[in-house]
Amino acid sequence: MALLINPGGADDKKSIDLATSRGRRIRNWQRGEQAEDALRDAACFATEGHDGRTLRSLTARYNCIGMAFANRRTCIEPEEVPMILEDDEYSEVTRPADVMPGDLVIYEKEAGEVSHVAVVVSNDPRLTDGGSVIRVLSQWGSDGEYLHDYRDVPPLLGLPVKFYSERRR
Amino acid sequence: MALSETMKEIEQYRFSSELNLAAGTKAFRRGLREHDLVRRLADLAKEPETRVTVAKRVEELSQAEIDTRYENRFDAALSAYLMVLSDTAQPETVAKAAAAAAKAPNCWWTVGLSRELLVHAVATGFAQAPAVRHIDTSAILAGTPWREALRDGVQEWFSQRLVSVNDDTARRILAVLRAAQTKAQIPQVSNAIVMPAPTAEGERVTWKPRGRNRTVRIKAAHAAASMRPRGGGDAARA
Repeated sequence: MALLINPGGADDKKSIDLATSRGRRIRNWQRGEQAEDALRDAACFATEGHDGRTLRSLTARYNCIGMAFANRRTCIEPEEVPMILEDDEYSEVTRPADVMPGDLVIYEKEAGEVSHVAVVVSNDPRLTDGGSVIRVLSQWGSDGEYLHDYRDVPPLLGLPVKFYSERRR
Repeated sequence: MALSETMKEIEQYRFSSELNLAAGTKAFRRGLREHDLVRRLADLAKEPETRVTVAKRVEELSQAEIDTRYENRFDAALSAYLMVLSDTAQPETVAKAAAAAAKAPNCWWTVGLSRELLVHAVATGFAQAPAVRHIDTSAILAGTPWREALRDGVQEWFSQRLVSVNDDTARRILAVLRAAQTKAQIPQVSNAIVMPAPTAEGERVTWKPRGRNRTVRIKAAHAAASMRPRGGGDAARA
Protein backbone atom coordinates (compact mmCIF):
# COMPACT_ATOMS: atom_id res chain seq x y z
CA MET A 1 0.00 0.00 0.00
CA ALA A 2 1.30 3.45 -0.82
CA LEU A 3 1.64 6.57 1.24
CA LEU A 4 -0.08 9.86 1.20
CA ILE A 5 1.94 11.57 3.91
CA ASN A 6 5.44 12.62 2.88
CA PRO A 7 5.78 10.44 -0.22
CA GLY A 8 9.39 9.63 -0.98
CA GLY A 9 10.21 10.42 2.64
CA ALA A 10 11.48 8.22 5.45
CA ASP A 11 8.14 6.45 5.97
CA ASP A 12 7.64 5.63 2.31
CA LYS A 13 8.19 1.91 1.80
CA LYS A 14 9.27 2.52 -1.79
CA SER A 15 11.98 4.90 -0.61
CA ILE A 16 15.49 4.20 0.65
CA ASP A 17 17.56 6.16 3.16
CA LEU A 18 19.42 8.77 1.15
CA ALA A 19 20.80 12.11 2.27
CA THR A 20 23.08 14.89 1.12
CA SER A 21 26.47 15.53 2.75
CA ARG A 22 24.74 17.99 5.08
CA GLY A 23 22.23 15.35 6.12
CA ARG A 24 19.20 16.65 4.27
CA ARG A 25 17.05 13.77 3.10
CA ILE A 26 16.82 13.19 -0.64
CA ARG A 27 13.30 12.06 -1.48
CA ASN A 28 13.34 9.05 -3.73
CA TRP A 29 11.25 6.15 -5.00
CA GLN A 30 12.33 2.73 -6.17
CA ARG A 31 10.65 2.01 -9.47
CA GLY A 32 9.58 -1.42 -10.71
CA GLU A 33 11.28 -3.14 -13.61
CA GLN A 34 9.93 -3.02 -17.16
CA ALA A 35 9.19 -6.24 -19.04
CA GLU A 36 12.08 -7.51 -21.14
CA ASP A 37 10.41 -6.84 -24.49
CA ALA A 38 9.54 -3.31 -23.36
CA LEU A 39 13.18 -2.68 -22.48
CA ARG A 40 14.35 -4.12 -25.81
CA ASP A 41 11.98 -1.80 -27.66
CA ALA A 42 13.25 1.13 -25.57
CA ALA A 43 16.85 0.31 -26.50
CA CYS A 44 15.93 0.11 -30.20
CA PHE A 45 14.15 3.43 -29.96
CA ALA A 46 17.12 5.04 -28.23
CA THR A 47 19.83 3.80 -30.56
CA GLU A 48 18.17 3.40 -33.99
CA GLY A 49 19.89 5.73 -36.42
CA HIS A 50 22.29 7.04 -33.78
CA ASP A 51 25.69 5.40 -34.19
CA GLY A 52 27.23 7.44 -31.40
CA ARG A 53 24.93 5.99 -28.75
CA THR A 54 26.02 2.79 -27.01
CA LEU A 55 23.82 0.83 -24.64
CA ARG A 56 25.58 0.08 -21.35
CA SER A 57 22.79 -1.36 -19.19
CA LEU A 58 19.10 -2.04 -19.68
CA THR A 59 16.96 -1.56 -16.60
CA ALA A 60 14.17 0.75 -15.46
CA ARG A 61 14.84 0.69 -11.73
CA TYR A 62 16.56 4.07 -11.47
CA ASN A 63 16.61 7.33 -13.39
CA CYS A 64 19.46 9.58 -14.48
CA ILE A 65 19.62 11.37 -11.14
CA GLY A 66 19.52 8.09 -9.24
CA MET A 67 22.39 6.92 -11.40
CA ALA A 68 24.49 10.02 -10.73
CA PHE A 69 23.75 10.52 -7.02
CA ALA A 70 22.47 7.20 -5.64
CA ASN A 71 24.61 4.47 -7.22
CA ARG A 72 21.77 3.26 -9.45
CA ARG A 73 19.59 2.29 -6.52
CA THR A 74 16.53 4.49 -6.89
CA CYS A 75 14.73 7.27 -8.76
CA ILE A 76 15.16 10.88 -7.67
CA GLU A 77 12.92 13.66 -9.00
CA PRO A 78 14.83 16.42 -10.86
CA GLU A 79 13.54 18.97 -8.35
CA GLU A 80 15.99 17.53 -5.79
CA VAL A 81 19.08 18.31 -7.88
CA PRO A 82 19.69 21.94 -6.80
CA MET A 83 19.65 20.88 -3.13
CA ILE A 84 22.10 18.04 -3.79
CA LEU A 85 24.49 20.28 -5.75
CA GLU A 86 24.44 22.86 -2.97
CA ASP A 87 24.81 20.48 -0.03
CA ASP A 88 27.47 18.36 -1.69
CA GLU A 89 29.38 21.51 -2.62
CA TYR A 90 29.47 21.09 -6.35
CA SER A 91 30.84 24.05 -8.26
CA GLU A 92 30.25 25.04 -11.83
CA VAL A 93 32.92 24.36 -14.45
CA THR A 94 32.59 27.20 -16.89
CA ARG A 95 34.97 26.10 -19.66
CA PRO A 96 34.22 22.81 -21.45
CA ALA A 97 37.96 22.29 -21.84
CA ASP A 98 38.28 22.09 -18.03
CA VAL A 99 35.68 19.35 -17.67
CA MET A 100 37.06 16.04 -16.36
CA PRO A 101 35.75 12.49 -16.15
CA GLY A 102 33.42 12.21 -13.15
CA ASP A 103 32.05 15.72 -13.56
CA LEU A 104 28.34 16.19 -14.24
CA VAL A 105 26.39 17.71 -17.10
CA ILE A 106 23.08 19.31 -16.16
CA TYR A 107 20.36 19.52 -18.80
CA GLU A 108 17.33 21.78 -18.83
CA LYS A 109 14.19 21.65 -20.91
CA GLU A 110 12.99 25.02 -19.67
CA ALA A 111 15.05 27.69 -17.94
CA GLY A 112 15.88 26.72 -14.36
CA GLU A 113 14.17 23.33 -14.60
CA VAL A 114 16.57 20.39 -14.48
CA SER A 115 15.47 17.71 -16.95
CA HIS A 116 18.46 15.36 -17.08
CA VAL A 117 21.86 14.63 -15.54
CA ALA A 118 24.83 12.85 -17.14
CA VAL A 119 28.26 11.81 -15.85
CA VAL A 120 31.31 12.76 -17.95
CA VAL A 121 33.47 9.79 -18.96
CA SER A 122 35.93 11.48 -21.31
CA ASN A 123 36.90 14.91 -22.61
CA ASP A 124 39.19 14.98 -25.62
CA PRO A 125 40.32 18.05 -27.50
CA ARG A 126 38.91 18.39 -30.99
CA LEU A 127 41.84 19.06 -33.28
CA THR A 128 39.85 20.78 -36.01
CA ASP A 129 38.62 23.75 -34.00
CA GLY A 130 40.17 23.42 -30.54
CA GLY A 131 36.83 22.51 -29.00
CA SER A 132 36.03 19.53 -26.78
CA VAL A 133 34.60 16.10 -27.55
CA ILE A 134 32.80 15.22 -24.33
CA ARG A 135 31.40 11.72 -23.87
CA VAL A 136 29.00 11.03 -21.05
CA LEU A 137 27.15 8.16 -19.42
CA SER A 138 23.52 8.63 -18.46
CA GLN A 139 20.32 6.74 -17.74
CA TRP A 140 17.52 7.80 -20.05
CA GLY A 141 14.40 7.75 -17.92
CA SER A 142 13.50 4.09 -17.55
CA ASP A 143 14.82 3.22 -21.01
CA GLY A 144 18.36 2.15 -20.08
CA GLU A 145 21.82 3.59 -19.63
CA TYR A 146 23.80 4.91 -22.60
CA LEU A 147 27.22 6.23 -23.52
CA HIS A 148 26.83 9.18 -25.85
CA ASP A 149 28.10 12.60 -26.86
CA TYR A 150 26.89 15.07 -24.23
CA ARG A 151 24.86 16.95 -26.82
CA ASP A 152 23.29 13.86 -28.36
CA VAL A 153 20.15 13.21 -26.31
CA PRO A 154 16.46 12.86 -27.24
CA PRO A 155 14.61 16.20 -27.14
CA LEU A 156 12.58 15.17 -24.08
CA LEU A 157 15.79 15.22 -22.00
CA GLY A 158 16.46 18.88 -22.78
CA LEU A 159 19.72 20.63 -23.62
CA PRO A 160 23.07 20.62 -21.77
CA VAL A 161 23.39 23.93 -19.97
CA LYS A 162 26.03 23.57 -17.26
CA PHE A 163 28.91 21.42 -16.06
CA TYR A 164 29.39 20.78 -12.37
CA SER A 165 32.18 19.18 -10.38
CA GLU A 166 32.72 18.16 -6.75
CA ARG A 167 36.53 18.11 -7.27
CA ARG A 168 38.65 19.55 -4.44
CA ARG A 169 42.07 20.96 -5.29
CA MET B 1 -5.35 8.66 -38.70
CA ALA B 2 -8.58 7.17 -37.36
CA LEU B 3 -9.38 6.91 -33.67
CA SER B 4 -8.75 3.17 -33.47
CA GLU B 5 -5.35 3.50 -35.14
CA THR B 6 -4.39 6.41 -32.90
CA MET B 7 -5.30 4.47 -29.77
CA LYS B 8 -3.53 1.37 -31.04
CA GLU B 9 -0.35 3.41 -31.54
CA ILE B 10 -0.67 4.90 -28.07
CA GLU B 11 -0.82 1.42 -26.58
CA GLN B 12 2.31 0.22 -28.36
CA TYR B 13 5.68 -0.18 -26.63
CA ARG B 14 7.12 2.56 -28.82
CA PHE B 15 4.86 5.21 -27.28
CA SER B 16 5.90 4.07 -23.77
CA SER B 17 9.56 4.06 -24.78
CA GLU B 18 9.35 7.65 -25.99
CA LEU B 19 7.59 8.94 -22.88
CA ASN B 20 9.56 6.81 -20.42
CA LEU B 21 12.65 8.81 -21.34
CA ALA B 22 11.42 11.45 -18.92
CA ALA B 23 13.41 11.78 -15.71
CA GLY B 24 10.49 13.18 -13.74
CA THR B 25 6.81 13.96 -13.64
CA LYS B 26 7.01 17.42 -15.21
CA ALA B 27 8.99 16.20 -18.19
CA PHE B 28 6.67 13.23 -18.66
CA ARG B 29 3.56 15.38 -18.70
CA ARG B 30 5.15 17.93 -21.00
CA GLY B 31 6.15 15.09 -23.29
CA LEU B 32 2.61 13.76 -23.29
CA ARG B 33 1.10 17.11 -24.19
CA GLU B 34 3.60 17.66 -26.99
CA HIS B 35 3.30 14.16 -28.46
CA ASP B 36 1.70 14.00 -31.91
CA LEU B 37 -0.49 11.01 -31.04
CA VAL B 38 -1.84 12.68 -27.91
CA ARG B 39 -2.54 15.88 -29.82
CA ARG B 40 -4.29 13.84 -32.49
CA LEU B 41 -6.39 12.06 -29.88
CA ALA B 42 -7.24 15.37 -28.21
CA ASP B 43 -8.52 16.66 -31.56
CA LEU B 44 -10.61 13.55 -32.06
CA ALA B 45 -11.90 13.80 -28.50
CA LYS B 46 -13.80 16.95 -29.39
CA GLU B 47 -16.46 14.46 -30.50
CA PRO B 48 -18.50 13.05 -27.59
CA GLU B 49 -18.38 9.51 -29.02
CA THR B 50 -14.59 9.60 -28.94
CA ARG B 51 -14.59 10.62 -25.31
CA VAL B 52 -16.90 7.73 -24.46
CA THR B 53 -14.61 5.33 -26.33
CA VAL B 54 -11.53 6.63 -24.54
CA ALA B 55 -13.22 6.45 -21.14
CA LYS B 56 -14.30 2.87 -21.80
CA ARG B 57 -10.78 2.00 -22.86
CA VAL B 58 -9.40 3.39 -19.62
CA GLU B 59 -11.68 1.03 -17.70
CA GLU B 60 -10.66 -1.92 -19.89
CA LEU B 61 -6.93 -1.27 -19.60
CA SER B 62 -7.20 -0.71 -15.86
CA GLN B 63 -8.61 -4.20 -15.47
CA ALA B 64 -6.34 -5.85 -18.02
CA GLU B 65 -4.23 -8.71 -16.71
CA ILE B 66 -0.57 -7.84 -16.50
CA ASP B 67 2.60 -9.62 -15.49
CA THR B 68 2.85 -8.37 -11.92
CA ARG B 69 6.63 -8.82 -11.86
CA TYR B 70 6.88 -5.75 -14.08
CA GLU B 71 5.47 -2.28 -14.44
CA ASN B 72 2.12 -1.99 -16.17
CA ARG B 73 2.79 -1.87 -19.92
CA PHE B 74 -0.24 0.43 -20.40
CA ASP B 75 0.98 3.02 -17.89
CA ALA B 76 1.85 5.67 -20.48
CA ALA B 77 -1.29 4.94 -22.50
CA LEU B 78 -3.51 5.28 -19.43
CA SER B 79 -1.84 8.60 -18.60
CA ALA B 80 -2.37 9.81 -22.16
CA TYR B 81 -6.05 8.88 -22.08
CA LEU B 82 -6.57 10.52 -18.69
CA MET B 83 -4.85 13.69 -19.85
CA VAL B 84 -6.99 13.89 -22.97
CA LEU B 85 -10.17 13.25 -20.99
CA SER B 86 -9.23 15.81 -18.36
CA ASP B 87 -8.86 18.40 -21.12
CA THR B 88 -12.02 17.53 -23.02
CA ALA B 89 -14.56 15.50 -21.03
CA GLN B 90 -17.16 16.38 -18.43
CA PRO B 91 -15.94 16.27 -14.82
CA GLU B 92 -18.09 13.21 -14.04
CA THR B 93 -16.48 11.28 -16.88
CA VAL B 94 -13.01 12.39 -15.80
CA ALA B 95 -13.66 11.35 -12.20
CA LYS B 96 -14.96 7.94 -13.26
CA ALA B 97 -12.00 7.31 -15.57
CA ALA B 98 -9.53 8.49 -12.93
CA ALA B 99 -11.09 6.19 -10.35
CA ALA B 100 -10.74 3.25 -12.73
CA ALA B 101 -7.16 4.13 -13.69
CA ALA B 102 -6.15 4.49 -10.04
CA LYS B 103 -6.88 0.81 -9.59
CA ALA B 104 -4.61 -0.28 -12.44
CA PRO B 105 -1.75 -2.27 -10.87
CA ASN B 106 1.97 -1.45 -11.10
CA CYS B 107 1.62 1.96 -12.69
CA TRP B 108 4.19 4.70 -12.23
CA TRP B 109 2.97 7.79 -14.09
CA THR B 110 -0.76 7.07 -13.99
CA VAL B 111 -0.83 6.92 -10.21
CA GLY B 112 -0.03 10.59 -9.76
CA LEU B 113 -2.27 11.79 -12.56
CA SER B 114 -5.30 9.76 -11.52
CA ARG B 115 -4.91 10.77 -7.90
CA GLU B 116 -4.66 14.40 -8.85
CA LEU B 117 -7.80 14.21 -10.97
CA LEU B 118 -9.66 12.37 -8.23
CA VAL B 119 -8.75 14.84 -5.53
CA HIS B 120 -9.82 17.65 -7.81
CA ALA B 121 -13.08 15.82 -8.48
CA VAL B 122 -13.69 15.37 -4.76
CA ALA B 123 -12.82 18.97 -3.99
CA THR B 124 -15.15 20.29 -6.66
CA GLY B 125 -17.97 17.94 -5.78
CA PHE B 126 -17.85 15.68 -8.82
CA ALA B 127 -16.86 12.65 -6.81
CA GLN B 128 -18.06 11.57 -3.42
CA ALA B 129 -15.77 12.54 -0.56
CA PRO B 130 -14.77 9.68 1.69
CA ALA B 131 -16.17 9.69 5.20
CA VAL B 132 -14.31 11.44 7.98
CA ARG B 133 -12.13 9.19 10.14
CA HIS B 134 -11.97 9.63 13.86
CA ILE B 135 -8.84 8.94 15.82
CA ASP B 136 -8.88 7.85 19.44
CA THR B 137 -6.67 10.46 21.09
CA SER B 138 -6.19 8.34 24.19
CA ALA B 139 -3.99 6.12 22.03
CA ILE B 140 -1.39 8.88 22.02
CA LEU B 141 -1.09 8.82 25.78
CA ALA B 142 -1.18 5.05 25.94
CA GLY B 143 2.12 4.93 24.12
CA THR B 144 0.64 3.78 20.83
CA PRO B 145 2.82 4.71 17.85
CA TRP B 146 0.42 7.43 16.66
CA ARG B 147 2.41 8.24 13.55
CA GLU B 148 1.82 4.74 12.25
CA ALA B 149 -1.79 4.80 13.38
CA LEU B 150 -2.45 8.07 11.59
CA ARG B 151 -0.63 6.93 8.51
CA ASP B 152 -2.54 3.66 8.34
CA GLY B 153 -5.80 5.51 8.79
CA VAL B 154 -5.07 7.89 5.97
CA GLN B 155 -3.90 5.07 3.77
CA GLU B 156 -7.05 3.10 4.39
CA TRP B 157 -9.12 6.18 3.65
CA PHE B 158 -7.27 6.96 0.45
CA SER B 159 -6.70 3.48 -0.88
CA GLN B 160 -10.40 3.08 -1.57
CA ARG B 161 -9.62 4.75 -4.85
CA LEU B 162 -5.91 5.16 -5.08
CA VAL B 163 -2.70 3.22 -5.15
CA SER B 164 0.34 5.44 -4.62
CA VAL B 165 1.46 9.02 -4.89
CA ASN B 166 4.52 11.07 -5.64
CA ASP B 167 5.58 14.32 -4.09
CA ASP B 168 4.40 16.52 -6.89
CA THR B 169 0.96 15.00 -6.54
CA ALA B 170 0.99 15.36 -2.77
CA ARG B 171 1.75 19.05 -3.08
CA ARG B 172 -1.09 19.44 -5.54
CA ILE B 173 -3.44 17.46 -3.32
CA LEU B 174 -2.70 19.76 -0.41
CA ALA B 175 -3.10 22.83 -2.62
CA VAL B 176 -6.46 21.63 -3.88
CA LEU B 177 -7.68 20.78 -0.38
CA ARG B 178 -6.54 24.15 0.92
CA ALA B 179 -8.29 25.93 -1.93
CA ALA B 180 -11.43 23.90 -1.37
CA GLN B 181 -11.44 24.67 2.33
CA THR B 182 -10.94 28.35 1.65
CA LYS B 183 -13.89 28.37 -0.68
CA ALA B 184 -15.92 26.42 1.87
CA GLN B 185 -16.59 23.71 -0.63
CA ILE B 186 -16.08 21.11 2.07
CA PRO B 187 -17.20 23.06 5.13
CA GLN B 188 -18.90 20.23 7.01
CA VAL B 189 -16.04 17.83 7.30
CA SER B 190 -12.32 18.07 7.06
CA ASN B 191 -10.06 15.15 6.31
CA ALA B 192 -6.99 17.06 7.48
CA ILE B 193 -6.21 16.12 11.04
CA VAL B 194 -3.78 18.21 13.07
CA MET B 195 -2.05 16.13 15.73
CA PRO B 196 -0.72 18.09 18.71
CA ALA B 197 2.38 16.58 20.24
CA PRO B 198 2.00 15.17 23.76
CA THR B 199 3.45 17.47 26.38
CA ALA B 200 6.72 16.66 28.10
CA GLU B 201 4.92 16.05 31.36
CA GLY B 202 2.63 13.57 29.69
CA GLU B 203 -0.40 15.73 30.29
CA ARG B 204 -3.57 14.95 28.43
CA VAL B 205 -3.71 16.87 25.21
CA THR B 206 -6.85 18.94 24.81
CA TRP B 207 -8.22 18.78 21.33
CA LYS B 208 -9.64 22.01 20.05
CA PRO B 209 -10.86 22.70 16.56
CA ARG B 210 -8.57 24.93 14.61
CA GLY B 211 -9.94 27.50 12.22
CA ARG B 212 -12.58 30.15 12.52
CA ASN B 213 -13.33 29.80 16.23
CA ARG B 214 -9.66 29.94 17.08
CA THR B 215 -9.13 32.91 14.82
CA VAL B 216 -12.10 34.70 16.36
CA ARG B 217 -10.72 34.10 19.84
CA ILE B 218 -7.29 35.41 18.86
CA LYS B 219 -8.76 38.48 17.20
CA ALA B 220 -10.93 39.17 20.24
CA ALA B 221 -7.89 38.91 22.49
CA HIS B 222 -5.95 41.33 20.31
CA ALA B 223 -8.88 43.73 20.21
CA ALA B 224 -9.20 43.65 24.00
CA ALA B 225 -5.48 44.28 24.38
CA SER B 226 -5.54 47.25 22.03
CA MET B 227 -8.55 48.76 23.82
CA ARG B 228 -6.75 48.66 27.16
CA PRO B 229 -5.00 52.00 27.98
CA ARG B 230 -1.22 52.01 28.55
CA GLY B 231 -0.47 51.19 32.15
CA GLY B 232 -3.92 49.72 32.52
CA GLY B 233 -2.44 46.45 33.62
CA ASP B 234 -0.57 48.10 36.48
CA ALA B 235 -3.69 49.95 37.49
CA ALA B 236 -5.67 46.77 37.47
CA ARG B 237 -3.05 45.01 39.59
CA ALA B 238 -3.05 47.94 42.00
